Amino acid sequence: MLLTLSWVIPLAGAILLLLVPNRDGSRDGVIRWLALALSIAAFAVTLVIWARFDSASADFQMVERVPWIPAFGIDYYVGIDGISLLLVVLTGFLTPIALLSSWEGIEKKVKEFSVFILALEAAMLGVFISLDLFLFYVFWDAMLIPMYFLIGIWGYDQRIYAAIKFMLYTMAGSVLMLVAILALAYMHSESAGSYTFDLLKLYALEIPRTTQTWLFLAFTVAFAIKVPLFPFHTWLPDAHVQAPTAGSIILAGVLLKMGTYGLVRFAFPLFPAAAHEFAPWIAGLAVIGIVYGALVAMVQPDMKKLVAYSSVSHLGFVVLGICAMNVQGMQGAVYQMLAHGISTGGLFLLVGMLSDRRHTRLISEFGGLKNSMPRLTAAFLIITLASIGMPALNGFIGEFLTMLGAFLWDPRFVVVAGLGVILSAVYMLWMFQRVYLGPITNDKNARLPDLQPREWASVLPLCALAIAMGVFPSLFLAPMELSVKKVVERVQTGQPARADNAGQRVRTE
Amino acid sequence: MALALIVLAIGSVAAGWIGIPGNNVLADWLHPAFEAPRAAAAVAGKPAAAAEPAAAEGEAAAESHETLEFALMGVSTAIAVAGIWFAWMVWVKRRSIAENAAREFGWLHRLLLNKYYVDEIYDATIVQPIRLASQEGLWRGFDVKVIDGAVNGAAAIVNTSATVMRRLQTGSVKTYAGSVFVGVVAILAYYLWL
Amino acid sequence: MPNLQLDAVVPMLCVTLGALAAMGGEALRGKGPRMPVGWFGIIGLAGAAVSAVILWNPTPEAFREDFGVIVADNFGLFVTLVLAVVGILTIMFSSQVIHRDNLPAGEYYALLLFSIVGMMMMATATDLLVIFVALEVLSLAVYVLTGIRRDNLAGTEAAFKYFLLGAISSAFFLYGIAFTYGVTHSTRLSAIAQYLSAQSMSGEPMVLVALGLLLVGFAFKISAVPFHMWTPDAYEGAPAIVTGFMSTGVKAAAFAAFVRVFLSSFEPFRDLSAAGPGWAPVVAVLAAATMILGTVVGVAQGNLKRMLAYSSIAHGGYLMVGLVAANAVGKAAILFYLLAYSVTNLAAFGVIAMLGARDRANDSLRDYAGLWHSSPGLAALMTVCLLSLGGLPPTAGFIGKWYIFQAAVSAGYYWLAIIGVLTSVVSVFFYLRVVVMMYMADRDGAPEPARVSGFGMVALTLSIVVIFYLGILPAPILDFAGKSIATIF
Repeated sequence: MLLTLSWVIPLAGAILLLLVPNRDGSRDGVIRWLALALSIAAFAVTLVIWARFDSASADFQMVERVPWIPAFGIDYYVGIDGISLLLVVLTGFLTPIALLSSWEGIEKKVKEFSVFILALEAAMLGVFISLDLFLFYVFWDAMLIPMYFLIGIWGYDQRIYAAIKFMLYTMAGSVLMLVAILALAYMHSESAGSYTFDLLKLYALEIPRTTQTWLFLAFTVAFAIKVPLFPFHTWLPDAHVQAPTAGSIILAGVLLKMGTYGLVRFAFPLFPAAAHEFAPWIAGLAVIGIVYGALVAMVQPDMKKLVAYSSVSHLGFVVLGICAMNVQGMQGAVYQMLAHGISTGGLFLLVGMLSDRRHTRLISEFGGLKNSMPRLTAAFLIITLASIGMPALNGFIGEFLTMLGAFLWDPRFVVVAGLGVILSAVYMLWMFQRVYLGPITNDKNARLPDLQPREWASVLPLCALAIAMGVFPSLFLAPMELSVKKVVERVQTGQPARADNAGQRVRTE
Repeated sequence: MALALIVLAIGSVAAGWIGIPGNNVLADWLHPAFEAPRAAAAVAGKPAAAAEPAAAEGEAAAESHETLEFALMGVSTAIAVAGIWFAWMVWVKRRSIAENAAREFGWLHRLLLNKYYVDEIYDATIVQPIRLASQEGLWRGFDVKVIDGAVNGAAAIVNTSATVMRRLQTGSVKTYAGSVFVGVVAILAYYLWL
Repeated sequence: MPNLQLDAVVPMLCVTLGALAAMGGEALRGKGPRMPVGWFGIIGLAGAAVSAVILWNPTPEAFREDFGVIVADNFGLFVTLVLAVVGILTIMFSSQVIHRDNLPAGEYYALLLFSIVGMMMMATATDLLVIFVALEVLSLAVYVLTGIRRDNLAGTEAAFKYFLLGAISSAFFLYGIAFTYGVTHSTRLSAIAQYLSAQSMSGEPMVLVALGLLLVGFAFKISAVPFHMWTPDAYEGAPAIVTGFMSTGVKAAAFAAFVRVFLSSFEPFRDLSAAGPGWAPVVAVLAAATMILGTVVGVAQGNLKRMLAYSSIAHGGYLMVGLVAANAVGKAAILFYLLAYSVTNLAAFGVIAMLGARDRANDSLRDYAGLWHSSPGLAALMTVCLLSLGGLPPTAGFIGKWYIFQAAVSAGYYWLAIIGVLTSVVSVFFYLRVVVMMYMADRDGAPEPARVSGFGMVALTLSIVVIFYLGILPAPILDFAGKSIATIF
């Protein structure tokens, strides 16, 4: 019941909010508080789920299963394991923060805005807990609609282009995945006599090698677009920059993780042989993305675009960790997913605060902000360092583990990836220097208000978590450990054992 | 600022004092970490007899080590003091030496003043090229023109096809009837001649 | 004397009575206020729906209601139900249009209802000639409805084009029937099937010609490429609600007959065999061309009615994919898709109809700018329809498309499925363009809130409920469709 509750609360809340009459905007405040309360309630449910989660078991927990379309073996089938647990909590955590960030930034059509954010939250939670491929696809596509509206209505000047680009680009990948899902169901019906979309049953399906390749590619393209993996990343800068702050936070914090989650949960375990064959290529793209994203981020004049490209770079680490197909790599990947959600969500939050105050995102417009907004500067510094991967903050654990795992698999990738770590320091610190350090160059920056109480409420949890995740990683590693081991086992054993094959060393744990 | 220096000075002396030869507190501190490999090597196959003279050798070596250490300490301290005296002489006592030297060996002075131009070299050979390459090449060139070009190009293809195909719809009934006719002929041809 | 069971034609009789009552009511009323003639239609259609449900047989193998050339088997009854729903919704949307545009109510409703009778007949007929007669009945009524606004030049032109081209393709259809008769000595579908499967007729030219010509006739009616050219003009010129009716009811009836004829009688000729070609490859190619052309040219449209016309063409393509798949999943998918698509398309056209005015049609994209601000409810409902047409969850359109593509994949037609999903993505673009207009564009000048009649709102709300119901809890209807295909004739 808990899992369903987690997404029903935001959805029901969204529908209820729709019914509140607010044509003239008089009830904006009430609606904002209601939406916030609902999102916090959903977050509370996710925390309860975490509390009740048994880290000692690698199976899916809190499973709920109700037949939905029996003729095709489609059930409403949800469950949670260590990997999805943390992503679910992340989603619950970031949504109230996103709502808080838009308290003053969004002035028109507040009701619809809140409705879309809550609907988006419901869809995101649904994606992470679905164990039925059909259900997963429904939530996956359903997530596109609120995001499209959020970017297209409340975004910045190029929002319509960005929204359509986001929607069509993502959909193009997902529909290919749809065909692959249908093919899987059909293959199961051929071998076992009945259609099914049950993920666990499909894990057990014996799929011939050539078919595996096509299906794997179809799934991976859909997820690669979402991650985003180079060269499928160009929707990201536009979507992130044009989205309103709350949209960017959720987009970077959660939506991108859905791509990597898809790789871990579906693409790699369902098609292990194809995964092994293509992993080097995918890792290559990931590593290119790491360096490329960093280099392009470095030369961006727009802060939001810089952070957007930094996402491309940081998520390359996640994909690299997944491709390593060993425990360290995968654990690092999942950890980095969480860390990136916190740090990049924080970055967008803080950049949003700057752009709310000055209505510009250009680095050249700022400078010396530490003199007028010291507390904001401090928070920004913490989040920046977390993003770079400084030890004692969360990014370090993630990047370290992924590189360790990747090194055990194939050291060459890590050599290039390491370059990315240096470059991320370059672009982040350079931006920090230009924006915050030095004297105030532009008069408009002299009297900007520092962090307000509401902004404190959204920034403090993020900073606290960034530090906590860096100093107490085991708290977050523990739940996922067994689940990750199970996934790795599945990916490693799904293909015949090879001692040495074409220079690729496959080391099992 | 001065306070910080005072604290650091005290700390430096203390840290150095710990390492005075003959009284070195830290020297053996990490030995337990190396005992294990040494013991393992001993167990692995080195004859026990070889370990004995090695230990004795260590003792004697330690003696000569101390002398060497004191000698090195003395020499480095002397050089440091000499340097301080020289700097005081040139820069405090008689500035003219410095100015004359700067004028006489102008290029050397500039080189040293600009830290061997290392920063400028870095900037010119590494930073600027990378920045320029990233900005013009990777970002404006590749990302915008090539990748986004492909994406927008796909959209443009659809748009162009749409505009072109739209013209097929001429509004003239004869054209429509003609297309029906074409379809019929195509289907029948397929069936009858293939 | 064969055992004729009158029960089989009860649905059609109900509608016919409704039509006659509408005509009579309009003719016999004095100079007083208008009689709500539409109600006759609704009652008649409701009667048809109820009787269809009663006649629907959960154990189809046991017996069927047989009226000789009309058979009320589950397949036909399902389509009858869909047609009844289409009819009721159309009437509900039409009431406002008739009043506003001063259309002749009695004639309008009578034509509508007669057309539906023709459609029901076409869906339940088991004889090629009866199919032809039904085709003509429904087509003639629709031709007139297209041009019912006599003072509207576009409408008249549309009606005339439709009529001309319809006549041409009916001629081809008849020619095909003639050839079929020539080969099999009967026009009864069951007899044709028997004959064709008994003799090995593969490669027999006359059968292939018959096949091809019948295909042309059907392809015209369902707007398959390259027989689709009448569609954009006819759809644009007709009044919006008539377009809605045409795009849904006519397609449903035509597809019902198409499926029946090709999947029962000509079943032996489906695939390429060693001796000769079949109809499946041709239909597959037509389906692909239809999906692609409908979607691509739809991108270039600035007029909403025309855009939806091209979208209907594309949807016809998706239905053809289900036909090509031809397995149990495919047939049920066609039925489900017809229901989902009919309700959605009709609702979309209903909105267009209700937003129109006497003097201008208000159907270009610019007219929808800022609709969110003036009529948020209407904009939201229109958005749901558009999302369903695009195939996004959790709407009926998504389930329909999934079902069709599942059929295609299960039959091995991967390339069709891929073309289908990719064109779906492209189509989302032009559906979203309307959404952009409604939500994200600003209207110059003050937005006037749309005046929507009570009936219209009820119809719209009902449609949305159905769309979500089919999208979220499709299982009962899917089962219903699945059980409706057991016997095709």
